Amino acid sequence: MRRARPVDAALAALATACALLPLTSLFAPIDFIRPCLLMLVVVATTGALVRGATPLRWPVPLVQAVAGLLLASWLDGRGHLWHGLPTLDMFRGWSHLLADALGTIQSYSAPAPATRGVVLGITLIFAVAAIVVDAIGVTRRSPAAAGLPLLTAYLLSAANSGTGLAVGYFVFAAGFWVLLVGRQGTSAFRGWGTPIPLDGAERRTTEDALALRFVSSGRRLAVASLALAVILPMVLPHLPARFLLSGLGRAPNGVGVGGTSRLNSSVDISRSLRSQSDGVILRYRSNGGAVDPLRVGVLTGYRDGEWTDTETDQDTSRLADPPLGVAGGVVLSTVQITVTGNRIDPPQLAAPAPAVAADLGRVQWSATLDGSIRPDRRPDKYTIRYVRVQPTEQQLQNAQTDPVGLADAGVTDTDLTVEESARPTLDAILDKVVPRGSSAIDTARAIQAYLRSPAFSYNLNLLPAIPEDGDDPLVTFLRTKQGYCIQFATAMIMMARDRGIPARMAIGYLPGHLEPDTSWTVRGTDAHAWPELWFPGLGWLRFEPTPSGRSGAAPIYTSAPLPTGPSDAPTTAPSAATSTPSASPRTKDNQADNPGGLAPAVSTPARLWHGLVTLPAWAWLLLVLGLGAVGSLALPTAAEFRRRRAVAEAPDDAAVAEAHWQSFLRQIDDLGVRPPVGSTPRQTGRFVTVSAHLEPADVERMRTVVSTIERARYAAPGTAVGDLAGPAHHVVTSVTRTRPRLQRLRAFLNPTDGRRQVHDVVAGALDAPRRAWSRLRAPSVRRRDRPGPDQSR
Amino acid sequence: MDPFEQQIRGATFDLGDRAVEPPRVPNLDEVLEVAARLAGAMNSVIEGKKGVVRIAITVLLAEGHLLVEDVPGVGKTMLAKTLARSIDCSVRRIQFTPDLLPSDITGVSVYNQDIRSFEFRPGAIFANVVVGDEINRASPKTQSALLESMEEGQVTVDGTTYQLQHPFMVLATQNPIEMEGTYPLPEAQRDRFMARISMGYPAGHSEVDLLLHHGGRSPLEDLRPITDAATVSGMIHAVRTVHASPSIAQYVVDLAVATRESPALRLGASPRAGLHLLRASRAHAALAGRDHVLPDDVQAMVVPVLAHRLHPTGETQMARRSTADVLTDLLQRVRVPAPRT
Repeated sequence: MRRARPVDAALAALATACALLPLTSLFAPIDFIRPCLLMLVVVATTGALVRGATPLRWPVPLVQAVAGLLLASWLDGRGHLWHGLPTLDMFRGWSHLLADALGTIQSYSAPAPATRGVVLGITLIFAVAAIVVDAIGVTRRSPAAAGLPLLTAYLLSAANSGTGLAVGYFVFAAGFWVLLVGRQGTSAFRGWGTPIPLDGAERRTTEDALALRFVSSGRRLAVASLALAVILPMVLPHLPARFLLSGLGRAPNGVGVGGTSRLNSSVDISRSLRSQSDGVILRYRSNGGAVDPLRVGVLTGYRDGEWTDTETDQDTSRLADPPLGVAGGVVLSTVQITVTGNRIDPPQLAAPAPAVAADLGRVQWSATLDGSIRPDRRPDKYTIRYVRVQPTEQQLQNAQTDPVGLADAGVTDTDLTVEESARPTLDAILDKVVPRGSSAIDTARAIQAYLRSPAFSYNLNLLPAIPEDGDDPLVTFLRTKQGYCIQFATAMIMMARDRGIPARMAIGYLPGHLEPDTSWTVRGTDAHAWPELWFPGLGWLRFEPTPSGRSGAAPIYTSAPLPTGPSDAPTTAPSAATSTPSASPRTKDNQADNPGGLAPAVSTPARLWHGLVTLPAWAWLLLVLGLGAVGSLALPTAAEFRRRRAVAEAPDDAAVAEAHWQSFLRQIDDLGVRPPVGSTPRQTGRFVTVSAHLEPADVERMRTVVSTIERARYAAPGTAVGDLAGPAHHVVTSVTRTRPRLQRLRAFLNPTDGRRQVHDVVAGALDAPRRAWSRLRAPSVRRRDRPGPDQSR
Repeated sequence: MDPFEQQIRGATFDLGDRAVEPPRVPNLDEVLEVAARLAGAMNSVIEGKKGVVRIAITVLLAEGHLLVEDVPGVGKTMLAKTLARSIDCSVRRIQFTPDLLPSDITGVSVYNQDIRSFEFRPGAIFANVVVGDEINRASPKTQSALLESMEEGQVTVDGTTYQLQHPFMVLATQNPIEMEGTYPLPEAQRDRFMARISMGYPAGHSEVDLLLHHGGRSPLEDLRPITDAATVSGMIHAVRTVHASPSIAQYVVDLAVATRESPALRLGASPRAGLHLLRASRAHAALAGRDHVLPDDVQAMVVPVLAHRLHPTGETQMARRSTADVLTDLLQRVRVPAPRT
């Protein structure tokens, strides 16, 4: 039973379960968790049974794998079994299911539907993770190493869920893992017991001393780690300040954390975009399930890398219904949302676009031409009715932008102004991305698909510009392919304008988070920006070039219709009254929101970093090598210094010999030749001779060394002592020759003398203020009661 | 040279009523030479017990008393007698029995009709070498009669103190397993013996030789004295000049303290034990031809000098560990002190 280690196995299984549990946030419905947990139980139990049955280690994961496979085939292979055993046919079926699962994962953003293939894949992932964790942590008894697969399993979910994972997931997984480590550590300690009945108390004292040494070094390690944990995030500019608090693994940051960007607009909204407040902006309920992003304002002018609000001031008192530019015949579905707890200051108001009716209670408001609502004061509660434009593919294809008549619909020249400095770059990309002769909608779709492609990654920290980019941050973004929503939106807008499609920047909030009571909560971190493109007859259509990890799904019309895809492709997802905010196809699989892309910010305090970071690789290598070489020589130098000083400070020959002898002892100790504690010089000499297999010449030298130190130490004062350093040095050299290379290197790089020297210097430095203080106090103390020099101890 | 030691060299020693000329202090080479001859002579009688013989001579030179403890018939008395014989000096042997009286050891004042006064008749203790056979068979009263003489080299009878001869050495034997009719030596008595040795059974070939050679007559009868009391006295003084550095003294103290602090022992070593250990170490160094003591000398003498003075705890006894085992452990643990520079 001891060998079976059922408790450890249970802990390992629990840790695995907790590490994989966040997968439930990636898929819906979460029924799949039951077979997965069953799989864990089976794997853990099998492992314990096999361990109990055989002392061999290798059969354990093997039997576990077989058991897991059997269970998986009973769960997911029914109909393809032969007497309950898996068949080739079943594996073929599995491969289809898994391929299907891969497709699902690639085309859906979280939470994706938990299809049969997905469930099978997750079950198998659970099985593999459980087997690996069990093999490392329980069978191999290295639970510390088992932390790696656990972390991998955890990051699997963390890296793919759009939001920050709840802290609980990590805490529980880590907690069970720590318990596992602790249990194994305890049993390892108990394993040190010896069957020889030595006199108990005596052993206890030495063991206590040993344990104390462990404790103190453990403490030192802990303090150092803690200091590093505090200092490193302060020194490294990449990590957002609230990294640890806002969810482990990833932080659901708002826009613009950790760096500044010249792409920011100068209007008020940009400040709130950059704010990393986690505070609730507003809550709302909708009568139509999932909601579109809530728009706060529209920006049209773009100059010198910044968006500006071109005030039209053509305020009207009512909203256009149907919205401006939407022709008859287009399907519109009306959705009504009721906002409560509004925290947005006037003259701004968050409302999905295009709004067709608004009820702000007693608050006066006006509407601008672009469809924004401007209240006089802040309404705490208001109702907005807006329409979802659901054009048919035919209508979309027909909507060719006609330069004539744009002005009537409120479209101005500004909406077609392209930043001249970026035009060459934009043209080059467009020529590559957009097929010649594309319709307007296909052009827009191609641009969006390009920006949502895996080549681009969502990153709150912008890479620094290089001179070739010119002044325009847009060019930098298109080169580095890293940025956040404003960059993506700007890029899409400029490309669309370049192709003659009027486009503008909408700023607002993502739909937010669905609470259990079916209301939605929008926080400061949900701030978002997206482009709106003008299509005649359809009005301003929202596009979503920002990777789905951040922005969720793009509107349905922004992707080309699927050629009769699998039946579970939810083509009606946006209007379906499902509680999942984004169960709609993605255009491409995106490596969205990549916090691992460690790009330095361009903020002022990090300038120094830039200098370092932008060094060429070889310079870095040289720098590191040089620093390493200098650093590694510090201890040997300190050791040599200490030895020389000890010899120089010795008052007589005997003391010189003693200094040499002590240094000799420490050097052979570094080399792993450790005579027993109570050894006399003579016994030490014999020990060295035997354990280092000294040559006859060196044996003679060793004898000289021993007799010299004996004379120095024990003979009557005045006896001639003789030289010890020479033969001792020879003996050390010979001992070195017999040692393994690693030990030699260690003895050279990390000599005890060096460590002690460093320790003394540090302790002296730390002690200096106290000594100065006691020196200050000393005269008065001595006057009082003459305690002598002991007082200063 | 220590001024005190110089004083000793030149001093006249009053050894009771017998005025003895001051011993000539030989140098250490001579000590070594005489001791080697002594050991050779003893080895020729006691087969295959070189270690025991060496310790016996060490104790003799260190001015101590020797307790030989072992089962009957392994040559305890033989060793005592051999040592006594090889020195041309007065030897007395006391067979300890339960009815032995203290006056038998120290002597008694007897009324002399001729001179009409009490006359002191010296007891068996008045000799250079006193062989006390089966010392634990005497009553505690008699055993304690030995105390003063052993420690101070003098005897007080009826208020008069008599100095014993120099050198003076008690060689006592006892049987460890004989329980009936024995009085175990009290701690105080045991502490006065510098060293305890046990003979042990002879090695195989030695035992064969022993049988062959003891067939006729005892080799003891062939033994001629190697040296005399005055020389031994001089050797003892010479051994006192062996240098023991402060760090050696520190080592001895550390060891003594370690026995006191050891949880395996109920009773640790006394300061007298430390004194004896240092003296024995000096003699050991002299026998190794050195004029200074090494920690190795101390280590060599620790078990014979300390083992019989220590009291193991019940647990140690239950674990069948002897005090010698505990001491061997301590030796591996107590650091050899480096001189303070």
